[in-house]
Amino acid sequence: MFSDKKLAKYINANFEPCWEPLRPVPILTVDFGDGRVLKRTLHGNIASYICEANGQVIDILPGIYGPRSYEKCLQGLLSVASFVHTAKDRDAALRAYHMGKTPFPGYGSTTIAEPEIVALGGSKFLNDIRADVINNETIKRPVIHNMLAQRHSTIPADITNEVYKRTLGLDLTDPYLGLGDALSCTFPGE
Amino acid sequence: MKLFVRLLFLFAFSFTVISTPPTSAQAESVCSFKNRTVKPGLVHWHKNFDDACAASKSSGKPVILFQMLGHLDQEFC
Repeated sequence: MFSDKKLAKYINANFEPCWEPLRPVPILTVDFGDGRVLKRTLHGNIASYICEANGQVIDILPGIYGPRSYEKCLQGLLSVASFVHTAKDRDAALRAYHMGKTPFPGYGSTTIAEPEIVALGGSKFLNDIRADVINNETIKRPVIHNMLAQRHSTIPADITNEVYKRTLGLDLTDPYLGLGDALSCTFPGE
Repeated sequence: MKLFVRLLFLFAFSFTVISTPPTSAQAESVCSFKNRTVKPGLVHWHKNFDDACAASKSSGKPVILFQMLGHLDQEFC
C-alpha cells in the first residue's frame, strides 16, 4: 500500500508517519510437492493510529485498506485532527466526534471503497479488498469509536491489546494467536 | 485444595504444549528461512513513535502510527 505514489505523497505532505512491529508475523508455508511451495502471511492484522503531537490517540483505522480508500479515510481524519486541535475543550470535542455528534462524515459508510474499484478496475483481489474495507468501516470502526468515546485520553500502547482483540479478533498475548487448537488438534484416538 | 491441584495440572499441561521444542527438521526449516529486507514503500518513515511525535510538535502535522505484525521493511509482513 505504501508503494502507491499518490498515497505516499499525501502522507508525506500531511502526516508524521512511523511504523511499529508488535510481534513477529506468522508465516504460512504450504508445500504442494514437485518443488511448488507457497509462502505467505496472514494479512490484515494492522491498525493505523492518528495521534496528536503529545501521543494522544485521535482515531484508529483497523485492518487493511486499499490505497485510495486509505487516503480518503486519512483526509477525513486530518480534518478531525484539526477540529480537535483548535477546540476549546479538546476532550469534549473528541468525545463528541466519537459519539457521532459532530458535522464530520458519519462512519459506517459502505461507499468508502468505491474510489478503489474505479481507480484500479475490477478484480478478485480488489473485490476482497473492498469487502475488507466495508467490514472495517461498518463493523470494526464503530467498535473503535465506542472504545475511544469512553476514554478521556489514551496513547497507543494503552489500547493496543484491546484494539487487536476487539476489532481484529487477535489476542496478542497468545503465542499462537488463537490458532493453537486448530494447529494441534487430532482425530479422537490418535 | 482440589482446585489448586487442578489449576497446577492445567498450567503444567499448557506449558508442555506451548514449550514443546520443534523437531530437528522443523528447526532447520525455521532457521533456514530468511525474511528478505525490502524498502518500506515511498513514505518517509520516522524511526519510532517518539521521533514522529517530536516532529509533529514542530510541524503541526498529526502522527500516523502504523502498527503491524512483522516488519514493514521485510518481504513477508
